[in-house]
Amino acid sequence: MTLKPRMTLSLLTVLTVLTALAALVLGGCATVKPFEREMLADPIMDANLGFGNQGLVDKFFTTREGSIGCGTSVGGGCGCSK
Amino acid sequence: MKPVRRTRMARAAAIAAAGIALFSLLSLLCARPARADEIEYSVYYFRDNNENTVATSAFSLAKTLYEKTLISLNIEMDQTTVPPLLDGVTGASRPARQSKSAFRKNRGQIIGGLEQTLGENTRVMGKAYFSQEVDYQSLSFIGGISQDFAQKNFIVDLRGQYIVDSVGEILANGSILNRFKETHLGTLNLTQVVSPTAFVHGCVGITRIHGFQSDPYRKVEIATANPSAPDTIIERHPDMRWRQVVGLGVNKYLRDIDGAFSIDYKYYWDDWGLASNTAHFQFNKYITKDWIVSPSYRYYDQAGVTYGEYLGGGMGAFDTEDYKLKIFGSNGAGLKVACFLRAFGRKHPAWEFLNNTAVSAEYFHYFNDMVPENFSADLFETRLRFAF
Repeated sequence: MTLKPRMTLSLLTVLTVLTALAALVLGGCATVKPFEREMLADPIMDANLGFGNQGLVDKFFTTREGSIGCGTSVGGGCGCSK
Repeated sequence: MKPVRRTRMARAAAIAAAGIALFSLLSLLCARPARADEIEYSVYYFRDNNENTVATSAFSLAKTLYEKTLISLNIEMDQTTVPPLLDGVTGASRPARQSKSAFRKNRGQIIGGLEQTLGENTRVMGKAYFSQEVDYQSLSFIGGISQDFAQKNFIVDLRGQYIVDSVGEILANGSILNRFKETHLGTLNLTQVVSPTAFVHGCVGITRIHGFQSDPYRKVEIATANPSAPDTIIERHPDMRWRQVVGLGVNKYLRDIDGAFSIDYKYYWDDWGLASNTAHFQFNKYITKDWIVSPSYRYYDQAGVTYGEYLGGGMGAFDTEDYKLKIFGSNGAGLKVACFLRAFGRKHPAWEFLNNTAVSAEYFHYFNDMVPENFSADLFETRLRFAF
């Protein structure tokens, strides 16, 4: 099997960008009072729209791709043909 | 299953039972603000361009037991249908007698959990998970702690999971040969509220997988001295794999249009030389005060596996037909529609019990550019959630 990497971003680049973004965002955040959180609690701020987690769809990605971790489900059987 | 594997699983089950007992004790001693109790039922259907299908039904319950203790239960059953075997390479083992007909198998899963808040801002949880199918068994224990800081503007969530898998091969005589795999997984999630309409979140995860890595069970063809008669053997992989991930995302409410969007990016890499990344965009929009439409798009790209340092360790060659280890990119697009049934409660007082009930339907289409055969799949999911 001859496989060549085709990723264009190095890990160092990604970590640098993520760290810079995190520093930028976290450094400038203001305190939000409890009574100001109405919109943050709205179902449309949740990718699942208030339903349970997307374990079944995530399982499909885990069994078809090299992605795992950070919310992607683990377990759920062999995933044969999922 | 070999006795040593049974011993390991029994020991793991005993540890989990002790953990759950400890949580039960904590439940009686501590207090926590009650969260809405709810029942959810979902139906999931998958079909790909090779005529493989999976149909799943899942039921979950979350119920407050004693003030601030939440118990959860999830039961899932699915049926997988694999078309007749065309060559010596397959993604699922099957009885020899079914080699020329569609193979159908069932799986059952149960997850039980306890969640407890300690004080005002700390939450701990524990779950036990068991999944069984004819040629695969999985047992898992999950523990986690979540801490709110700065009056919930900053949340730290730490989770750990241990999984014991028994990967089976159905032999020609009908017996099953089981192989062992164990997985340790840790994830740190951080969420920061940055304004009354936005929050950002990041995560770091690490996974250690040890044992039989062909998941699902799969065989490969290898050349022999007779070119016209290749041999078929089980895949050969290193028996250890370390995988990592980092991710960052932002969710933002758009007041002017009564909608919200989320953007997520994740980067994965491991010591087999496989690196990948994915980006996901989703836009949620109220079209009435009770209806939400939610289109989404997902992009994924991965490099092929090189086995890195394992090849230099004198471990010999590896053979795989695993599509997850090859070079490809994929795209996915979905559309979700959700409806809150509170409108019925507003019109008919007798139906007020529907005030916290919602239904949703989702369609997701996935396709990749894998060579020589690309792959596509359709996923359908419907859900009913009833909070009380």
